[in-house]
Amino acid sequence: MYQPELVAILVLLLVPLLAAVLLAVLNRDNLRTGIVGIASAVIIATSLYLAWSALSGPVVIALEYAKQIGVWLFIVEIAVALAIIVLSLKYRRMLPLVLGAVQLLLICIMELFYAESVSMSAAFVVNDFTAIMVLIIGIIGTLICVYALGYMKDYHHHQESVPQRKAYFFAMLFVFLTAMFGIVLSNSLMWILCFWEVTTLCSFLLIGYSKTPEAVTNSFRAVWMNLVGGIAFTLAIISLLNIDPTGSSVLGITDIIHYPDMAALTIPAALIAIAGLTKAAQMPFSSWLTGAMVAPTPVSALLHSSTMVKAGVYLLVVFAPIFSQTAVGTALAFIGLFTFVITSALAISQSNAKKVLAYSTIANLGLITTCAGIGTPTAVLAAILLIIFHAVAKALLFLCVGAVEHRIDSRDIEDMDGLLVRLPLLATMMVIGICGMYLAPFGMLISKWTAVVAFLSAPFGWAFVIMLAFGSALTIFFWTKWLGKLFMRMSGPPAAAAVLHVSEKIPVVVMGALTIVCCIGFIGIIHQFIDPYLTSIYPGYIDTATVAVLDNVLMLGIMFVILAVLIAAAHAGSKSGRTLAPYLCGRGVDEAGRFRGSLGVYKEAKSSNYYLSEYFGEDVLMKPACIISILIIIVMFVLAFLGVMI
Amino acid sequence: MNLVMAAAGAVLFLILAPVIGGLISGVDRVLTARMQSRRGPPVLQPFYDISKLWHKERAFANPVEMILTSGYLVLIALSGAILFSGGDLLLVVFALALSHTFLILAAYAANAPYSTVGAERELIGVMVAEPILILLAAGFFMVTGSFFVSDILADTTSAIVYLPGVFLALFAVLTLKLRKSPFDIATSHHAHQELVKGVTSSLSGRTLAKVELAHWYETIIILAMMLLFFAANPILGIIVVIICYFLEILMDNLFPRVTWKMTVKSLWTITLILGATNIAVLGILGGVIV
Repeated sequence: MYQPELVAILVLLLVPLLAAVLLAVLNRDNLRTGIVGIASAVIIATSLYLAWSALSGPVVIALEYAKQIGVWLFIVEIAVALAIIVLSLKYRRMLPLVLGAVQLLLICIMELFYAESVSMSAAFVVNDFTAIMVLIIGIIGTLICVYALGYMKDYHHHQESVPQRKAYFFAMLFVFLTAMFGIVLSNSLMWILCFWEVTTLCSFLLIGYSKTPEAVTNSFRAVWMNLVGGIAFTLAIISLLNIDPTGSSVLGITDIIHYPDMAALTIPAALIAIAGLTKAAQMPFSSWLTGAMVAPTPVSALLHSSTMVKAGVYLLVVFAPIFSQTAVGTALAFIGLFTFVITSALAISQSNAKKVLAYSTIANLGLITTCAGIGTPTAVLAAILLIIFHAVAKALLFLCVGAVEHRIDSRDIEDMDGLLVRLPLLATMMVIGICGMYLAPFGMLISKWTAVVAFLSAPFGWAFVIMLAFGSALTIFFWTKWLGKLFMRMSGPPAAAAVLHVSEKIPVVVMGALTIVCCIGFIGIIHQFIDPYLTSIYPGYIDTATVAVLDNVLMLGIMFVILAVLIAAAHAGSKSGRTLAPYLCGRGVDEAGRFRGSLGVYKEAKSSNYYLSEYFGEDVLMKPACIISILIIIVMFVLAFLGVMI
Repeated sequence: MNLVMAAAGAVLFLILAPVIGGLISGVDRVLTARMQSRRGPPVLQPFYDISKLWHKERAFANPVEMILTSGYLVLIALSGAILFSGGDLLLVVFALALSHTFLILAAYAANAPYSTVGAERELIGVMVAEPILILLAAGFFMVTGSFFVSDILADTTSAIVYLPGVFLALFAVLTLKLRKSPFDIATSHHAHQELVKGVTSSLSGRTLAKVELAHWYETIIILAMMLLFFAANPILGIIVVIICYFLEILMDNLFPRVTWKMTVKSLWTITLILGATNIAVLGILGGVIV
């Protein structure tokens, strides 16, 4: 009889896969709803169970058939590489083709020369950090799949030129979930690599869903950048195996971070950093994620909140103890914070809501990367908090933008004025999401607070704090002006009530509630999950940061109460008092807020936000930023080859 | 005992700050008038203004304004209360940003061009001031090893010794926070400016009174932050703060035509050159001092 935790792990790995197969075969709308519903319920319940069992201590599972599974996973890797090569041939793309071939070659070398001698200590490890990731993938990921049910109906309604391939679409979403569970649950780097490549392929196929020329181009950009990461990952494994050919002490994550001779690990650390940077879309590699916006919104939501980019930062955070001791980590931290500042500035120049969200994702991932690079316990605490709050709030925002887009036929922030009047539910959820991303007393802010504390005690911490101060000012600008649009008074009548699908409504509301629950319960999260994890990773860790946070809980609580009272007051409404036409400096204004033009015609008084594109535009910032970040990467490798420690 | 002190500090701030803030504002107006060879209003004029505004008819461009401006006032009072109860400086900075968001939202809510442009420029003002406030908190942490005002006050050396650059950068931002300059941003007191009171142009009556009151609170908060640099020598601190305020009024009258673009550039340059360099030097020399 298998132990229950192993059964749970197998359920998480196999149920999404089974669901994917069923969804690919059974192409009927009501069957699809049933399968997605049941699979989601099973996945959510299982992830809750697994997280709960990880609370009482890390679950370590060794498998008898690890070798055989390794062979199967090798076959999967070959298949993925071949699929990418075939598609590159079909669409005549040279770069992905070459990179795909290199990757195939490297995998074969790794398998032929090393696999025989490799032995593994533990196949699956579920610690508290894994548990958090499982919850993020299990709950947020499946909710996004549920949301996709309703969304895709409208999507094909709005995009009639796109051929319907829903069976394929939903199957891919679930394969994605399997791969993500594989990444976070596996302990061996060789296994992680396999699932890593599967996510690359899935994102590639999903981004290209609409098959428009733009989508195809962007999907190939995503695939070549991620192949660079995959190659770096494979090289990292090979260089680790060169240190210890049996692999027993260098291939398991738990073994690596307790490896006695950290100085030997600088080169693998740099390679792993590259792998993480590509998947997390950090600076020179950021364009694939903004390009991925051509995909249907559930894909964006999935890529941004619970999968793909989270796999990148997961890898970096897991290896934080190594980075904390090598100079590679400091270079990595610089790349992350540089990305944070630049992409926050870029977000100011965007009016496309999805693009703003994309840039802010990259910015937040930059902050997480920095924390991972610094690698001290407080930094890791901040990183994990950032991962949680970002996943929840960003998923919520993407789902809202997607649903709003189908109701008002635009994803431009300029068209979202007065949304609180026009689409109250979606707009309220959007407000919660935006506040969750940057305002006190919401979660992101607590994470930023912890990040500042972590930076101040790190080497070069002063430089990080200065960059954070400016970057954080930039984030205030683009979030607040979006928020402002939502609150605007409508001059026209509110739009006719547009029906929101139930399958869209449930995920949106649940995600909104989750955002608030995480913000209120963050102390619990720190206490139950993050502190035990830090204690197990860092010998002699005493939590000093959380104690300081506790002193602020009272104040944050008061702020929450104030906000709640204000929201209640807003709902009660203030009926007393007269509503006037807006002030237009003495111009004649009619009831609807239009002003009298010089020819006696009433005109709409229109004002739009500042985008300051002469300072923050893509064409101004992109090129220098790429050059600088590439330079930092070069420095990182030089430091790695010199084996510089801290 | 500590809790009692903290509560007393917060309560005293909540009660006294508007009184002192209003008086400062009155003196400010008299001094400004004298510099322009006018007689100026009585010192208590700001209080008369508020009382007049309070008794006006309730009228809005958007009823949400009532709630948003209340949020502005309450949260700015809260951030001051955190500061004066010896709380966390970073939290004060973040709470200030939150309160300003409410003011900006109130301006957006009217959906009128003047008010929207005012909101955007107020937003730029917040963006310009944010880095120096975070650097201020970081600087105090580097010097005293704590973000908490109570710990900073307990320190025997005044932080000004280590943080002169940060102090000067804060002094530069004071121009913005007192709504002195630029003349085309937010709600400067100049009658000739293009935006007719910018961010508050759609507000009237009580909503406007609340914004004015919140502004008094904020003045005290910023001045208190300047005083923090002189924790070990409060008398000297008060003298320096008074001189700084006078210089602000003087600068306001000497450079009446500073635009918002100039403000962004000059203030961020100052923040970088003075504030950031100060932090960098401190970091390179010794990291966290305590």
